[in-house]
Amino acid sequence: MKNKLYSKTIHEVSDLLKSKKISTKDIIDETKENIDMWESKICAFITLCDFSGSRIQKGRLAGIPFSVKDNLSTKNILTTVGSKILENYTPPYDATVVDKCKSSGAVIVGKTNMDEFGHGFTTETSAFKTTLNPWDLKRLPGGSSGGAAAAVACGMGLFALATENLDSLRMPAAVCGVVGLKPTYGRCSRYGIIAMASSLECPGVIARNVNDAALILSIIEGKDEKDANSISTEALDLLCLKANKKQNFRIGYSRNYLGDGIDPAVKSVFEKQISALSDQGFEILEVEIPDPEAEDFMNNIIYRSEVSSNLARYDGIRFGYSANDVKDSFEQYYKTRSAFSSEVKRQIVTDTLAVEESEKLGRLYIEVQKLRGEFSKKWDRLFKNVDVLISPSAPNLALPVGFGKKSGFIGGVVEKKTADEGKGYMRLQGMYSVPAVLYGFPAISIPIRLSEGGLPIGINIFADRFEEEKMLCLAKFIEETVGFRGLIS
Amino acid sequence: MISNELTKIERLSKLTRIELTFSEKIRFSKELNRFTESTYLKKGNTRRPMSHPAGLVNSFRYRGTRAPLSQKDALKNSKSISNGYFKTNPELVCSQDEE
Repeated sequence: MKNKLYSKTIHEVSDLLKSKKISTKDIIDETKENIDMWESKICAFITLCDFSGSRIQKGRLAGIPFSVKDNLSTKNILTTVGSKILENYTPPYDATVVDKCKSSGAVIVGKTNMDEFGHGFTTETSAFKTTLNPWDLKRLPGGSSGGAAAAVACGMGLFALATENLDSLRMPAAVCGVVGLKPTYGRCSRYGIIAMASSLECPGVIARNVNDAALILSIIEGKDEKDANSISTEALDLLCLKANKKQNFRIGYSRNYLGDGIDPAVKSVFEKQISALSDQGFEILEVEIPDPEAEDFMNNIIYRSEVSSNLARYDGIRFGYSANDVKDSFEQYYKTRSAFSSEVKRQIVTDTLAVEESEKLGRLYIEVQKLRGEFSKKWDRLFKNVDVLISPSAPNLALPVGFGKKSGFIGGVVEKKTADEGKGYMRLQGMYSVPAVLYGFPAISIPIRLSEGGLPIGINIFADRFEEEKMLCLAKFIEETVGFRGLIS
Repeated sequence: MISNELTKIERLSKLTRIELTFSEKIRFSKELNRFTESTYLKKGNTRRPMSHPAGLVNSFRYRGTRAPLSQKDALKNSKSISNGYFKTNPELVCSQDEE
């Protein structure tokens, strides 16, 4: 029985269940075996659930085990957001996307580790532990959804629900050799996400293959009355993935994606993939992308303003950690909020400046939102000429343990060499990920090769809003033609 | 210059109710001008601010009533309850001027 199900898709496992060739006990037993084998090595979970006695509901995901990033609310399951300040918070309700999976019969395995409140790209800022990359235990799984990506890579659940804010979902998926899917902003409800940057982040899926990711998206999508940001749209057409036919997409890419700071192995794999797509008859167009530095600036102001606002609520009175032995409310706020890590403090303090300076600079946040609208039109024009854009998923292979701290992005000692590497890394990573979060485009990262050292390398595909089908069809085509099997031996 | 930045950080620390160590103050003060000095912003940009990444406008919350959480469910996970209410630390009088 061992590891038989780990290599199968959710569809295949569901079919085996329906035909009674396996039982839900077999799935649960194998998931437990994988957890026993991997969790002590990689620390993917903050909370593990006792799921052996779970009552299985009927539905498209009946008996399928999954994990949930720890910033998505889960009824009666601890939800810490990787922070000491919420270390004792157990929500009384489920996030809508979690509820939809549970209602379809899926079973929660546990809550996965993440950078505290999503501030980081390594899981090293989690208040509880650092997750390690299962492909190489001296390396990191990316972040902030590193725990979710590592859990799926090891078969500790067949998929994970996570969230994307900048590169929080696709980048960890890429360096862990799994698929990361971020839908169009508004396609899935944000209700139940512990908010950080409300107009940027949205829920998404980490899965072992494109079909599974699309299946989960078709379950979690839809207008939600509890989230005014969610949008009523046509249901995702999964039949387009079954057609298994190459479509004549116009694929755009930019030379800027391969600039200074990219790992030679990533560059080589990306160039070979572009060349392969051209040989396969796709129209490849080199495009000029709107100013990435301006977009980085906009993203920073919006992100920082929204973080400052959203994290103001942790006062020690309403929920979460509350400091004791204080002489007045003022001291209570101070001492309670000292439970934030140094990185989150840095974000809040400097983010608040962005909000405060707004008045001096003609309401900075509003001005940046105007600029965001202007740039959005530029991207609309770009998508008139191409169907999808592709880029590397991450400029580097999985980063070594300690990189976040050494690069100075999450505190610690700043070494010039690693700081320079860090800047190159962030500039390219921003180029690959900022447009999708800033303008709400759907995007998917799929693993396509292993480096010589055996580390996964992925590519990122993104499309215009609500064009998920195009993006998924191309992703499925590439997945089948490259034949990557992300199974860790 | 550094003392100006430190003063600014101390004011922000107070504003955000976050206690900072001296080394944090020094480190954070280096970042203060990074995000407010920009050549990208134009004066007199008359475009409407983007309010939703996918262009949603005039979206309103459902205005009717829904079945709320039961009192039992709402209180179930609270660390401290009393007579069917959430129990929090008493609101304490401030002994310092918050500004």
